[in-house]
Amino acid sequence: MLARSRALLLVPALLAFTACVSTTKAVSPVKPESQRKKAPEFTLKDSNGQPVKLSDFKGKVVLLNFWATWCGPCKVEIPWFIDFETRLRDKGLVVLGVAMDDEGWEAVKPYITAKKVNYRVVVGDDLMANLYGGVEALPTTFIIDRDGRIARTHVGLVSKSEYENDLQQLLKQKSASAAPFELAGR
Amino acid sequence: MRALLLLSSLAASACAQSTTLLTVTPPARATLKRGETVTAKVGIKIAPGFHVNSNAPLDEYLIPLRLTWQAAPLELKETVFPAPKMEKSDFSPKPIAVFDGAVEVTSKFTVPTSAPVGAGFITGKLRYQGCNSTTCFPPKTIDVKFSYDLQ
Repeated sequence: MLARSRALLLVPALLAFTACVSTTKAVSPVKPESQRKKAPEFTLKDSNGQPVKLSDFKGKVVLLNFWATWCGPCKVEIPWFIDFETRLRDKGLVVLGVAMDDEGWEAVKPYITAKKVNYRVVVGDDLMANLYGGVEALPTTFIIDRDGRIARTHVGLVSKSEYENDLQQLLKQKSASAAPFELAGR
Repeated sequence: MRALLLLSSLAASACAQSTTLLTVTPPARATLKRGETVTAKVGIKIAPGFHVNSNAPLDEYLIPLRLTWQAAPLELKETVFPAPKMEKSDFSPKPIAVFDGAVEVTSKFTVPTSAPVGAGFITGKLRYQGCNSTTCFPPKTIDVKFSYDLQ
């Protein structure tokens, strides 16, 4: 009976800790392929009004970064992502920024022009945030493998070398299958 | 067993920090007279490890702290924010102006000679945007109520 009570208490405690850890900082390395889950499909528009779908990047490694113009730590990462886009594009990397500014392109367009952002940016919304597990803390970055599966999630600012390690590891891996991206119910 | 309870409690409080970044204490109920000036103090408590941008954060992209009032039948004279803390950041060449811990924002109102006598209240909105050293959270707005008795 006592053992059962302990177990009952342990479950919410561990769940709470897991939830907190997942909303503060990811510490786990790139997940083994068998543990990766499909990244939800989405369609959002870029600054030219062109639709951008995750499935457009099938066979590529995608760095999907949720950010906002008002987010200081996000600003630190932007030059890193510009560098990744320049150096690693030919190796199969796509950097895609999802701006979460309520003001949309009115705020985002001048910002990405001023920062000379060379990767694609779309404007996100609550639906998109919910699709990816209720993204609230920024920056939050999902690193998606060539088969459209989430290999790592970073919540909050991490080092450039951590991203570099993740990306280099995933870029070396070949696409395991031609499986399509999961079509999430949007 | 005690350790498990402590673990649950610690986990809950750690989570609360990330979700309840800021709490507000509304101004105390005031007794007013027509023609006088009244001061309303709004208490703001920011969770440990977090900060909110000041009313003038010194970076054009940051969202400032704002306190606005639907003041009628009172008339807002001014809102005064405390001196901010200057914090060095990795993303800005110059320090940014923030608030952390407990701060107090003061609004002064005049009571028009035509204001109706009796109990009443006005409402304000406090808009803030907060971060910790690695993460930022979307701007939020909290309603603030200032209740009074006008004699």
